[in-house]
Amino acid sequence: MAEVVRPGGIGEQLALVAGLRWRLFRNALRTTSGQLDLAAQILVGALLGAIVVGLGLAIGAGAYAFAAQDRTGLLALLLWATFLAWHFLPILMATSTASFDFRSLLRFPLRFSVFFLLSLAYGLSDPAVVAALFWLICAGLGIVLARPELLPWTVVILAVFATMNLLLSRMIFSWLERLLARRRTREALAAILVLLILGFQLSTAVGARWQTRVRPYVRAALPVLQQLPPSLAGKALAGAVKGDALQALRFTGFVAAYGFAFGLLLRRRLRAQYLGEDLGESQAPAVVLRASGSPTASLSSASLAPSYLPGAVAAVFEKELRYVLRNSALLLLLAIPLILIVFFSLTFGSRRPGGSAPDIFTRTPELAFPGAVAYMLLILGQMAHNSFAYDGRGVQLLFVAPVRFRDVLIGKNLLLGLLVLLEACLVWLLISVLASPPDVLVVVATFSYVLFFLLTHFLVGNWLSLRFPRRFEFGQHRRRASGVTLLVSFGLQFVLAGMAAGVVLLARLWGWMWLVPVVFLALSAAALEVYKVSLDAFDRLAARQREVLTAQLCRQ
Amino acid sequence: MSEPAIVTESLTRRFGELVAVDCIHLTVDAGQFFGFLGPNGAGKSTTIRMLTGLLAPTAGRIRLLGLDLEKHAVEVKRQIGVVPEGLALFDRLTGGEYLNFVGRMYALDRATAAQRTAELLDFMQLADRPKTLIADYSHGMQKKLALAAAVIHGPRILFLDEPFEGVDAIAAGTLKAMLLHMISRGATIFLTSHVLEIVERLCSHVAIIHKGRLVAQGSLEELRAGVASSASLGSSPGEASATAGPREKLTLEQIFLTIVEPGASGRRAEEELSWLR
Repeated sequence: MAEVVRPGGIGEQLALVAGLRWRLFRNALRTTSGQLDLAAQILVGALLGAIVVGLGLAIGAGAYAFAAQDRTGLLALLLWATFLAWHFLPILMATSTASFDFRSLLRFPLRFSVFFLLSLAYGLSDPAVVAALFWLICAGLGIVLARPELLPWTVVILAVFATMNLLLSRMIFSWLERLLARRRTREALAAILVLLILGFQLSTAVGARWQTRVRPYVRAALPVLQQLPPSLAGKALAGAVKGDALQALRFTGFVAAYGFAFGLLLRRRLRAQYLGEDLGESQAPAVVLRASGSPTASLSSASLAPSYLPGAVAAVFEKELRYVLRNSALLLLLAIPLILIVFFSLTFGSRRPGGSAPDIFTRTPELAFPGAVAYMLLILGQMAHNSFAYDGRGVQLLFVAPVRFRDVLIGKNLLLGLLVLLEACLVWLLISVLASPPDVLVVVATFSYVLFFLLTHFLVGNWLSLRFPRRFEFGQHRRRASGVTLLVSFGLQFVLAGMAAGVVLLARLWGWMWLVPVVFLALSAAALEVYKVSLDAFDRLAARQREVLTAQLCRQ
Repeated sequence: MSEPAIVTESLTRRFGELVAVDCIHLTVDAGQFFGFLGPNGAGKSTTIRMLTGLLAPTAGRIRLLGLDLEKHAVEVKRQIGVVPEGLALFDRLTGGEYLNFVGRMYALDRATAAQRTAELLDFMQLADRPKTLIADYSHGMQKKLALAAAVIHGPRILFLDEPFEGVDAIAAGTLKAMLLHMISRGATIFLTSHVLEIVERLCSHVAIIHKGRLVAQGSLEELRAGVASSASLGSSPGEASATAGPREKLTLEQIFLTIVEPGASGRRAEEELSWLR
């Protein structure tokens, strides 16, 4: 009966995998949580889509103008923009997009060609790549609308450029995956990603501040940049616009050669995976450290929690603290607001050479401290919204142990609260040292807002954590929070920031600045009462949600 | 007579249309080494998850050590230890930190938790890796650690879901030694396992669940006698009883197959899956 087993065609296998993905998507919608998740994603997608379309129109208009006015040299700039978006946005958005490990399909008799094509298709399904591709199409449309006779050349050059980008992005990710497979390199990489995000935020400031110093380096790098694919594709387009077919063909060939080289490197990586390379966590070498004496007893008895806390609360607090101390990306996240304060004070701390722009901290001293704290809260507040993410299968213990879930939540909230307050104190110290100590009223008002912010975030965060839990692997390229959590989180930040702005504006209008701390202390007292009452409700919610929590967090 | 350790009354769990556990009446006396058996998907894990508070029953009652699990959840949990299917480990702690954490969650004071942690790590031969994270433990080491965590507070009932799955002979020997020691000190152990030889060697009493229903319960001798008498009456023509001679003892595997699928061994795989090489 072996004759029924025949090697499936490439198209057939690809269709099967597409069908599988569709089935997985449909099945995920069976639960209310899955449906809400999709609705939230559609909403967020619509918002982001509007931004993408707007930028696409701008790129298209730019391409139209450059082609119509024969300013062909500038076309390369548009290609550079899409190139950078194509390769950096997926990395920056890695933690907020869903992923499917198509390597799990390798247990089936999949041809290597299909596996290779699946990798490329997977690359195309990334929302950030879809956006970059859309911008490239917009650029092409702009050129063709300006010069219809360039349609064939534009299609060919941009298709080659897009293929090269696709191969390069998959190559980068396939090598990243290899690094991500090992726990230690994975964490290092997560830290690098956070730094990259930080660098992204600082790039404008660096450009503005050190324009004159950066310029020579940019000038020196230009010849190198000229040899890279976006510039080459730009030259190919310029050749087409000028009617120089040889130039267009030659530079298109160079871009294709890049694509071929990236394809070979990608093939090498995928071939290793196809032949059974194990990218599992087990590859991480366990470091066995033997210490003399009785290390176990000393390690276990070393307490990180205050002794006056009740047993279960102290245990959870201590466990959470150990998790924070072992999470390099999280530690870096905690350090970012402090780094930024130092950076801004060094960058804008003195008058610009030859300019008259005043010191940012001395110009608006009353805003420096609350502004820095607000930025810190923006980063750290979200940590309360998926607080079981790192617990994984350990969440089972929280249900079988003789503790009330309210104690677990208090332990988690307490640690985050203390971290935020400690960080706020450090921010105050830095501002005081680098600029001048903020006014007492400003400090009291800011801390009273922090208190209110924390309590409301604990209230909403505890509900979100129990209702929409998502497992998160340290530094892994996996989705972090549910769509609903992201949406509610965004909304809460918006509402709280609006409230703060409203209260401050009214206080300023009436000249009663003392009103700000009074209002937020009163709101904090009310929020504290609600928080206390909510703990019992969350205790009951946890009991109802135990199946969801264990199912979501224990899955491998 | 002392209170039974575990009693369930009409215990039922439905998942939508599926009835995973169907009106189970189970009694386990204190001090018993109790094996809970059943084919895949029979409802073993669902039952043990309900007994340990990881899953809410749709209907029915659970009494552990005379206390209602729903009404006295915290008091009951204080007296039971659990090794669930996922092992309930926090991967980013070391073995010592984890045991210490569990000890504190079970209301042990710091000093006691630290002392028992050291003793348990030593007994489980995990003490020589004090700085290794649980994520870097092998599967067998994780199982041993999960068992150590389940007993750190000296529970009166221990629930184990497949404790010997994926464990090598050396680790299994360590686990068995500890369990037998607990039984000798009066604890009750309730375990599920697919390894019938181990259950036969360790357990004094057994219950078999099939398609969500309890189809047998009693001591091994009682089950043997039941199967043998059924076979002699011809009401359950299992091949197992037929192959075992009149003086030969039925193995647990034979009892299990006879009860769960009478005549199953008569099924001809070669006829049903004719395309298999």
